[in-house]
Order: sequence, then C-alpha cells, then structure tokens
Amino acid sequence: MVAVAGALFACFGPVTPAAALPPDPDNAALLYYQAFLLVPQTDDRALADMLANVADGTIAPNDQVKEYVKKCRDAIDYAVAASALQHCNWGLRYSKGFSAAFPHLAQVRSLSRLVLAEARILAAQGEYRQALERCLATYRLAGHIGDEVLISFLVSVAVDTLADKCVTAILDQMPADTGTLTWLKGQLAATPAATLTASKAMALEREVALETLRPERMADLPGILAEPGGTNVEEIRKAINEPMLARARESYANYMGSALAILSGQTPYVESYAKLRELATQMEQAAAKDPAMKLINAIAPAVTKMYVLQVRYKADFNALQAAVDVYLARTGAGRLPSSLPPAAPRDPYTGAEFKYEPTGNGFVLRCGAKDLEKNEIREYRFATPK
Amino acid sequence: MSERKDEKWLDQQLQRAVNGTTPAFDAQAWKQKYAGEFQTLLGRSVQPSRLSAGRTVRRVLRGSIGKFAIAAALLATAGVLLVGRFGSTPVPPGSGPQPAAQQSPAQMVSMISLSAAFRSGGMEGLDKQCDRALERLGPRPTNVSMQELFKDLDGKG
Repeated sequence: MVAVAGALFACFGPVTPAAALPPDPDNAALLYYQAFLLVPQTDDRALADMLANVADGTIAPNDQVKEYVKKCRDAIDYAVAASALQHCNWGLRYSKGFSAAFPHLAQVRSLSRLVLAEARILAAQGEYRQALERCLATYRLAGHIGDEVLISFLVSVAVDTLADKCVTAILDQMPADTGTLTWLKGQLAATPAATLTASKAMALEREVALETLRPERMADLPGILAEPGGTNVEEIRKAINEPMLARARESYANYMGSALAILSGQTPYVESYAKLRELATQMEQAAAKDPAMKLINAIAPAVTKMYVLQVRYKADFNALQAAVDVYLARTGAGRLPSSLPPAAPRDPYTGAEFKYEPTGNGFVLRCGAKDLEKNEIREYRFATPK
Repeated sequence: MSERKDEKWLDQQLQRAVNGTTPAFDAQAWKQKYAGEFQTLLGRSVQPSRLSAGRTVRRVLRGSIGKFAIAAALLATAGVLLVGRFGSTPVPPGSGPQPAAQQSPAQMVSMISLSAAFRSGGMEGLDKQCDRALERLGPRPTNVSMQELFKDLDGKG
C-alpha cells in the first residue's frame, strides 16, 4: 500500500484538493456585490418599509419580516463574510469626475438594514452576542463604504448611526455579562467608525472638482453641473469661458482650503460652526455677483451641514462607548457608578466628559453644548435591565 | 387558450421583456396621454362591427402568428427601453436639465446628483435619492432556473 501511494505521489505529486480551489476573494466589495444580487426580489413596498422600521427599532420584528429575513440568509452571510475582510475596493470610476456612479451606496443602505433587522430579531430571541456581532459587521460595512468622498462618508455615517441605535437597544435589554461587555468595548474601539472623517473625503472631493474645472473639460461642464430645478445647461454654457474657469478653480481651491483648515483644526465646535457658516455666507453672496462663484457654489460641498453631521455622529458613537464603560462598571460593582469612568470617551461638542446622570431605570449621558443646527442638547438614554 | 391564460401568457412575456417587474397598465394615464387616439378608438367603437376590441385581441392571441407578433413587438419595445436604460448614448449637447424622474439610474447615483440631494435636503434628501435609485436598480431577480438557461441556449427562450 505504501508502495502504491509512493508510486501515485511520484506520478501526480501531492494531492491537496483545497490547494486546487481558487481562493475566495480578498476584496470585500466583490462579496458585497454578490450579497446585493442574493437579496430576493420583492416589489412589496410595505414589506421594505417594515424591514426598515424593524432595523431602526421603530417596530418590533414581526412574522412577515422574520420570514423575509430568513429568505435573505445567503445575502446576510455574504455581507458578514465581506465585512470580515480587511481590503475593500468598490472599483469606482473616479476618472469620470462628478459623473462617477456610486450605485453601491443605495444597495449598501438596504443591505445594512437587512443585517440590522436580523440583529433585532436575534436580540428579541435573547441571542445577544450574535445580535451584537451583526451590529459590528454593520460598523465594518460602514467602514468599507469609507470616507473617500463626501457622499460615501455620509452613507457611512447613516449606516453607523443605525448600528449605534441597534447596539443601544441590545444593551437596554441584555442581562449584565462582563465577558460580552468587555468584548464589545474592544470591538467598538476597533471599528472604523472611530476614524471616519469628512476631512479626508473633502480632500478627494477637491481633486475631483479641480479636475472637472479644467479648460479641457469645458464642453462637458454644462451637462455635469446642471441640476434639476437649478442652473440649466444653456445658462452654464453661456457663462463659461477660460478666464472664468480659471477664476472658478482658484476660488474653489481657496474655499476648500479654508473649509479644510477649519475642519481639521482643534477649535471648539461653536467656533468652527460659526466660521463655516460665515464661509458659506460669503460664498452665497459672491455667487450672486460672479458667475464663476455661482458655478462653484453648485459643486462645493455643504460644509456646515457636513460638519454638524460629523460632530453629531462622533458624539453618538462616543456616548455609546461611554455607556459600555458604565455598564461594565455596573457589572463589577453591582450598581451604577456615581460618576463616569475616567477613561470614557469625551463629548466632542465641548471636549469635556459627557454629563452623566443615573435615573430610576438606567442612566442618561448629555452633551455639554447645543447641536447648533437642531438647537438642542443631545442626550442619550440607556436602560439597565434587572 | 382561455382569456385568463392569455393574460397570464402576456404577463409572462412582458415580465421577461422588461426584466422581471410586474407590468401594470394605467388606463387613465394612457387616456390622458393619447387623448386623440382614445377619441378615435371611441369613434370606431360606435361604428357597426361584428367584433368588440376585446374579442379581436383574444382572437389574435389565439393564433400563433398573433402571439409571435405581440412577442416581437414587446421585445422591440423592451429593446428600446433597455437601450434607454443601460445604453451608452451620450447626452446630446444642448439638452436641458433633466427632472429627477427622468434621470437614468447612473445619473441618479452619480457623485454630483447625490451631493446635490444632500445639499438641498440634508441626510433626508440623500436617503430619498438613494431610495429612488434602489427602486430602479434592484435587487435583481435571483431565481434563474437551469430549465430557463437551457431554453435560452436552445434559442427557444
């Protein structure tokens, strides 16, 4: 028998079936694209709405949603597998500038709702660890969407925000468990949500805009910049000439330079917000007088809105991490701590720690300054299960 | 073939042709859009005729030539629709701004459109634009059976 095996080895070499299989993709995007294709088609708008409501916790999972999520098993598996990969390249054609299509963004939002709906279902069944794993997969998915350009950043923020809500809901009902909380704390700290910023997105956005505003692309500009209900193609065509484009490029570079300096700076929220508002007002006033400024007003990102969102998003995520610290302190001491644990993440509105207040059935974390767009103090309520 | 089966067959052909979505005929919209043609049809209906329009359609459907004619017409229509949807025909210079409803799927999810949606409506605006795009883009049907594939390969599909 040994002789036969030796002869076979001599003839064919080592037989390793696994080595014969092509490797699985190492690019997460390829798995996400397959996940999009594996979502069973439904024209049932009511079901889609219901799924979205379950994902964001507006309604509890019902049989219809559970049944649909079950049918989406393969799509969810692909999404979770994709989220575990380090590298993600969506293959976007940035060479097309502002016309570059981002079809994955719409799909990704829908896929994340599906994964989070499953997390809610698992949590309702008492399978908290698995439910949290789904949430973490969603954070990683948001990280894979990335912050290369502003719209990617925005969708990442939207997906992360949904995941924050889901983790909060799970913590509200999960019995005290030091092991799971310690694991969750480590996992949250490692999620890409902690590092996404609008500044990085704005840097590439600036490159795309400056490339679009080159004189060689003058013929394409009207088609790219005309907006439904806004400046029309003919208006832009009439207004554009080389000197005007040169002026637009220069003004755009200055505007983005000023905005980036504010966004990347360490100035307090209130001050940065005021500076960005002023910058936007200057731009609008200039646009009323100068066609070049009107042109760049159509492509310049809404930096104030962006900044408001970025800080809000950071506050939400930091508050969640701080809450995990509180839950952990509670499992150790058997009761809620009298103050926030010292290493808890800080409130980005003030740079100080969140205002912490135990309540009858849990605790509240409050920011120290108002969200200036909503004109309200953000607060986060957490329940402590018995 | 019964009238019901005829309808089912027609639905299936339509569904194949327009990529899996269930067809729905909006009679009111059609009447408004083609008011002249509708009046002509009404005018004809008062003329003495031995067959109603419905009967004529059913008769045509019963014959295999009629079916092929309808299938060919459907495929031609679908071809035009699909070229419009996925084709790479460049936008002619001078064409005006397109209302959101007329945007192609690629335009709906372009960097400029999504950014504009955020600029004008914040996250809600971006969400709506993504939802509209998703309605047009997918998800795609996944139940392609081997039988269908073989039919296509045989050229009988």
